[in-house]
Amino acid sequence: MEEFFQHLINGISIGSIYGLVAIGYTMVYGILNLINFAHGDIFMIGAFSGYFIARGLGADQAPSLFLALVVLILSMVVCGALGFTIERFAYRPLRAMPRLNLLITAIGVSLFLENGGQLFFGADPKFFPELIERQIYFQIGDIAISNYQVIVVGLSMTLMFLLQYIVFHTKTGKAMQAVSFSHETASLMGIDTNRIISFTFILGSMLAAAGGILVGLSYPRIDPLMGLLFGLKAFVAAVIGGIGSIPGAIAGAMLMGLSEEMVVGYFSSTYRDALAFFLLILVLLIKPTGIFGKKTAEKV
Amino acid sequence: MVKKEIYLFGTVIAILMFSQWIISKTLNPYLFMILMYCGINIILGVSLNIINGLTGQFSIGHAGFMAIGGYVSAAFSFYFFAPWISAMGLPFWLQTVGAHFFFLISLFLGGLTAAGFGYVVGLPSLHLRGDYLGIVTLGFGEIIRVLILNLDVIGGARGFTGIPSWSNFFWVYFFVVCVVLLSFRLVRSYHGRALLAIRENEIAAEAMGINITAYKVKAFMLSSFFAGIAGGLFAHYIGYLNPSSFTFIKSFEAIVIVVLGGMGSISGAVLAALITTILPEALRPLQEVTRLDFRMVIYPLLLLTLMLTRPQGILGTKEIGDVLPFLKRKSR
Amino acid sequence: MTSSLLEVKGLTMRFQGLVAVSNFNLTLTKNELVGIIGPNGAGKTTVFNMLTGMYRPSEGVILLQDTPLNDLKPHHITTLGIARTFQNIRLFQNLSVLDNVRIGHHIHLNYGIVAATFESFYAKTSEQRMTEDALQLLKIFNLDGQAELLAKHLPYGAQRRLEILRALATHPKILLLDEPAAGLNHTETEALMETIHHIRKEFDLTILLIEHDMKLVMGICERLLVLDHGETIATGTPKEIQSNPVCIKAYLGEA
Repeated sequence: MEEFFQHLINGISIGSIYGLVAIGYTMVYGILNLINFAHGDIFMIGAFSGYFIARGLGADQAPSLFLALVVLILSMVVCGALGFTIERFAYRPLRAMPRLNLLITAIGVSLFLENGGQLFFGADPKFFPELIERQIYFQIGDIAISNYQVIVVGLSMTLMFLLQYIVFHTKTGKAMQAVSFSHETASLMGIDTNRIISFTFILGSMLAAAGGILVGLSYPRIDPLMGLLFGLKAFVAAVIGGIGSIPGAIAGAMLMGLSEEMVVGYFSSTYRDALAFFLLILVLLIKPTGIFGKKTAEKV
Repeated sequence: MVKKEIYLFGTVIAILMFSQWIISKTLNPYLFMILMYCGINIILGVSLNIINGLTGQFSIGHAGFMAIGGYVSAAFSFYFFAPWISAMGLPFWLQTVGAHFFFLISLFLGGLTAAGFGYVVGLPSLHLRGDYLGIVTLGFGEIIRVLILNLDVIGGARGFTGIPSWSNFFWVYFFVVCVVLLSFRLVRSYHGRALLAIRENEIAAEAMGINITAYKVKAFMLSSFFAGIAGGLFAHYIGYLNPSSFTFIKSFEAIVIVVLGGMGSISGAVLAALITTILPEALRPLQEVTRLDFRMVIYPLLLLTLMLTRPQGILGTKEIGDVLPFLKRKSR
Repeated sequence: MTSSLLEVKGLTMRFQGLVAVSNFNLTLTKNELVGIIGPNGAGKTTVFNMLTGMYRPSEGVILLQDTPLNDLKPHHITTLGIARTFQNIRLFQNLSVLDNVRIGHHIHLNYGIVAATFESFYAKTSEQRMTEDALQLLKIFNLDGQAELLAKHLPYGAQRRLEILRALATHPKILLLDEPAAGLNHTETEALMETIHHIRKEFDLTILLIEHDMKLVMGICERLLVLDHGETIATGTPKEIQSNPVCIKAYLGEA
C-alpha cells in the first residue's frame, strides 16, 4: 500500500510536468490545427537555458529560492522568444498552405533544434544543478515526499491556474478562443490574429520552459534529445484528453504520468514508452476525439 | 499484352543484372552503400505515397511496418533458411542460387507480415480522421519498436546480429522497379482513381459507389507490404538490426520524402528519396572544413527553405513526364 | 411486383432532440420527375442523405424495388442504382474533368488489382470502353473540350453540370439532384431545365430534385412535395401547390 502511494505521488509529479508541456501542444493545435513537433524541443531548450543561466549566475554553487526563480523566469523568457521566432519565421509564411506542409516544417524545426543542440551543447548528457537544496518534506512510513515534488506540483498548478485565468478571463484569452474557432471570423471582429497566434506560441513555450526546468530538477540528466520522446508523450497526453482542450490536456497528462509510474512500479520499465501509445489507441478507439474532445461531424 | 509485359520485365531484369555486375566490379563500398540506401528509401517513399499521397490518409507509422518486415524476414533467414542451405551441403553455385531463392521468400514473408499488421492497424483506425490517424499510426510504430526491444529471440535491445548478407543491388532495384511500376499502373486503373477520389472528397467518393473503408485498408496493406520489403532488404544488406533504427524519426524521413516530392507524385517521391539520401552525404566534406558536424543542422534548414519556397513539393502533383515531356510515354 | 420504383414510408430523422424530418412518405414510379421544395432548414437535404445512406433514418422504411435500403452503406446504395449530386459542390477538385466522370463509372468496372498491375487485356479494354463512355457523357453538357482540365478550374456553372454528369456515370435508376440550379443565372437555368428533360429521356431516368428556383421546379416537375420544419405540408402537381394557401404561408410567412 505504501508503495502504491509512493507511485501515486511520483505519478502526480511527473504528470504535472507532462501537463505543462501538453498544454502547449493543445493550445497550438487548437489555434492552428498543427501538431507542433518542435514543442518538445522547446522544452529541451528550456532545460538547457536553465542549465546555462544557472551556471552563469552561480546558482549551482549557492542554491537559493531567489536565484531559482530568476533562472525559471529567464528560461521562460528565452523559450517564449524562441517560440515567437519559430512561429513568426517558420510557420507564419506557410499558414495558408496545406497542413501537411506546416507539419513537415514543424518536423524540420524540431530536427534543427535537436541537431543544433547536439552540436552546440554536446551530445552527452549534462547534470542539471540543484537550484534548491533537496530535502524530504514529509516522511510517513516509507512514503517520502521531497520538496522537489512539492515544488513541481505547486509550480505546475500555479502556472496552469494562471493560464486558465488568461484564457478565460482576459480579453486576449477570449480573442484566443475566437481565433481557434475561426481565423476569418475573428479577424472580421477586429482581432489581430497574427498577434494572438504569436501570443499563443509564447505562452505555450513559456510553460514548456517551466516543464524543462522541473524535469531538470527532478531527473538531473538533460540531453539535446530529451524533448523527443517526452514531447511526443506529452502530445499523446493532449490527444488522450481531447486535443484543443486545456483541462483535457491536464487530465490526459495526469493519466499518462500515473499509469507510467504504475507500469514501471508493478510491471516492467521496458514497456514504459509503449504504454503511452497503448493508452492512446485504447482511448481513441472508444472515444475518437479524446476524453474531453468535442464530436465533430462533417456536414453533407 | 502478356507478351509485352514479359518483354518489359525481361528487359528490366537483364538491365538490373548487367548493372549489378558492373557495379560489383567498379563501385567502392561507400558509394555502393549510398546507392543501396537510395533504393531502400525510394521503396519507402513511393510506398508511403500510396497511403499519404494518393489516398490522402495521414500515416506516420511507416518505420513500424519496415521494422516488422525487416525483423520477420531476418528471423526466417537466420533461423531457417541460412541453416538449411549450409546443412544441405550443396555445391557453391547452388548455395548462391538457394540464397537468392530463400532471400526472396523471406522478403515476401516479411512483406506479407507487415501487410497483415497493416490490416490489423488499418481496419479499426481508418475511421479516425486526419491527425488522429497520424498519431495512432505513430503510436503503433512506437509500440512495435518497444515490443521488439523486449523480444530476446530477435536480439532485443542488443540488436539482431548475424543476418545473412543476401541483399544486393539487383534485389533492391528490382523492388524499386516493382513499387514504382505498380504505383503508376495503379493510378491509371479505376482502383487508383478510387484512392484519389477518397483523397479529394470522401463523401463524394462514397456517393460514387466506392467502398472507402475497403480501399483505405487495401492502400494501407499495399503500402505496408512494400515497407516490409524495404525493411527486409535493409536487414539483409547491413546484416544487423537494432530497434533504434526504427524510431518515429525514420517514419518522419519517409513522410518528408513524400511531401518533398509533391503529394501524390510518384516520380517526385523517387526524386525526393534520392535527394534526402544523397544530400547529407554530399555535405560530408563540409564537416572536414568546419570540424563540427553541421550536416544535420543544414539538412533541416534546407528542408525548411524548400518548404517555404516550394510548398507544393518538387513536382507538385505532377509526374516527371509532365515537367519533362520527352520522358513521357505516348499512350495514356 | 409493383410499378413503384422507390417506396418511402414514415421516414423520420432525429438529431438528439431535434426532429429534422418527420413521417416523410414518397412513392416514385419509373420515369417520374418529382421536386421537393421548402424553405431553408426544412429537411430536404436530410431526406436525400437518408435515401443515399449518409444518415441512418431513426424510423421508417426505404424500399428500392422491394429492397430495403435502411441499413445499407452509401456506396452499396449507389450500386443498387441511386446517384446524387450535392448542394455544395463536391467534385474531385484536383482531378481532371474526365477523371471525375471516370470515377463515376467505378461500380461498373471489375478487373482486379493484379490485372491492373499487369494491365491485362481485359483491364485495358474495359478502361478504353469506359473512357469512351465518359467522353460521350461529357458531350451532353459540352464539357468534352475541357476533359483534361482540372475540375477546380472549371467555371461554377460547369462544375454543377459536371457533378450531374458524374452521378449519371454510375448509370443510376434514380437521380437525386440537390439544388442543381443554385447559383446559376437565368440562361443557365433554362439550359439546365432542358438538359434535365433530355437526360431523363436519354437514360430512362427517374429524377427527384430539391430546388429553390420556383421557375425551374414549376416548369419541369410533374409532382411536388412541400416540406416545412421536417413535415410534409403538401403534395400535388405544381398547379395545385401554387394555389395551396398552406404553401404560400410557409414560403411567404404570415401576411
